[in-house]
Amino acid sequence: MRALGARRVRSALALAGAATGVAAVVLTAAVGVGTARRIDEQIQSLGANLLIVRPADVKRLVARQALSGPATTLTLDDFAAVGALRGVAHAAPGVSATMTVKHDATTTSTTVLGTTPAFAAVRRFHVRTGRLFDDDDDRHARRVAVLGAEVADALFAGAVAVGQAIRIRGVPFDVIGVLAPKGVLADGDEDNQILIPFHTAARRVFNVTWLSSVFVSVVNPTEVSSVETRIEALLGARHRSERDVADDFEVQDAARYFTIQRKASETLRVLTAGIAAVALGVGGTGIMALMLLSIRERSDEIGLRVAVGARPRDIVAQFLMESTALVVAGWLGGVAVALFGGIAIARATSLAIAPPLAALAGSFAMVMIIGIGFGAFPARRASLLPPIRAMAER
Amino acid sequence: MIDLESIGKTYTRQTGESVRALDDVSLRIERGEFVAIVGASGSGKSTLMNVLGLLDEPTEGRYRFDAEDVSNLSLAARAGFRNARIGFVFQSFHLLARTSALENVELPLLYSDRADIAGLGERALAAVGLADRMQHTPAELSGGQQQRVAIARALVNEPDLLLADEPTGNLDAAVAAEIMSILQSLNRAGRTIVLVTHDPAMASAARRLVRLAHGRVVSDGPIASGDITLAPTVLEAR
Repeated sequence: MRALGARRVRSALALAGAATGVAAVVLTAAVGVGTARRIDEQIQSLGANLLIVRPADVKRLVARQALSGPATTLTLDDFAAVGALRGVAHAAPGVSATMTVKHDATTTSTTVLGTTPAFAAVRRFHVRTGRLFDDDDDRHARRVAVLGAEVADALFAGAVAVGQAIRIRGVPFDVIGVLAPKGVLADGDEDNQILIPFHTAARRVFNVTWLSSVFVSVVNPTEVSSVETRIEALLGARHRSERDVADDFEVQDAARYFTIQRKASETLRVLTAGIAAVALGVGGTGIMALMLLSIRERSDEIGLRVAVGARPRDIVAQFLMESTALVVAGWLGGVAVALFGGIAIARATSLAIAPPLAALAGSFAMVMIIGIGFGAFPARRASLLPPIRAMAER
Repeated sequence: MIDLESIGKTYTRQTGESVRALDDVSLRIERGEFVAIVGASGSGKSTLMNVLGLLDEPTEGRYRFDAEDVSNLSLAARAGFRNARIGFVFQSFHLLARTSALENVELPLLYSDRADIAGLGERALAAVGLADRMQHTPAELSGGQQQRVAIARALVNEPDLLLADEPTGNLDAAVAAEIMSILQSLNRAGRTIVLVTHDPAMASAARRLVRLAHGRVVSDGPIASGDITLAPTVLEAR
């Protein structure tokens, strides 16, 4: 220990090198594990069994002018047919657009979605205060609105929203409920929307007869792709019988979208883990160099110890203890840096952090191998030299 | 106590050339003797010292220490033997830096299997007159004091044999004389001492003179303590 203290600057440098490497490995792994875990949670909160049917972007000729935009062929009849398919638990139609919404002098821009009460079950929304509209509200096309948490904050800034009046594109609505936020788990837009009854939206706000989406929840998550195939076959048959063109709709599998995201993040994680491992290797090389140098420099001391009766294994044990203390200190330092770095990253960015057990264990194993390897073997070699020759090697 | 029988030692240099450092050396040293081994550099005196101290193995011959054949002990067995039976004093002291005098003296005890080691370090330091310098580090001690610490270290385990290799080579004359008188008083108290030196004045402190040349013993005989008339003979050997 005293010997390490005596080479304070050099020991500190080697230690810092190892600590940097360990911190790099642990921190990148923490971000990787955290990201993977968040994606899993997103899939859970979204519903692992969610399918969304949307009209496809198509080109149309209107008065000899080429226009592009969503097809207008997805209808309530399509929704009813999809809802009757085998394997579908709930289905909800949707018409939506981004609109300006007003309460007194406060305005905000948000997505207004006309849908049926089944939507809350399909998308796993809960009401925080008030109530959701019901089938009766929908049937009578009542002007009632349920606000997403962000919208409620934007319009009412903490004041009670339920019972207040708002205007959506000039049409007056009564706020009857506020949704519980999905928070960071959501993709961001889910808390920034207003739900109104489907018929109210279609007749009084949008004045359309076509749907901008059909939300489908599948009974059994393992059947998501077979239900998807059934929906594609059904709608394909219904639409092609009228117009012999390409599919004018698409079915999105939310879980698959996140699975792709997860794969991308895993690729990135492997890449950064590789870079971090190189950093750890460089740090390890620092410790290796220190131990080799220190053993060479101290051949004098080794020679003396051997002369006064140290056996080779006494010398090996001594240097093993020194190098092990060094790498364990470096590892602990690196983990501490990673801990503070992780907390800082979690606070400053939206990245998710989770303790990466495999990286902790792996980096510890690696520094121990470096410490033992480069502590023990050169010491063993030095201890086998005739002591006087070792002393002469100064 | 020590019985060397036709000891030979051949080194192989890195160039492949072999060097005959010791050639048919036979030497007996009895308990309580104070022997000076002298010779020019390259005469084989350092090699003889390494063989005597079990730091190096002879390539030929037999070495018996108290009737025990120690010519072919294993590395670990030789380490244990050195620790228990032989004390070393070197020209350049070889003290551990940043380590107190007492801890330096106690270093051999670290590798000893003796149980009764309490107080040995303090006693050895007191024996060389450094009872008041136990916590000083080598940097805080003079050259003579450092060599006295080294002597205390050699004595701490109460060895049968004290081997001193040019113990005064790095010291000025006055301090050297002081070190030699310590060795003489240790010998008078019964300690067996082998001194390797090229300095005739230092050799004259011993009671028996062994002269080496070209790896062979060329003369071996008693000297009267402090007999300076021997000096020219020793000078000639240089």
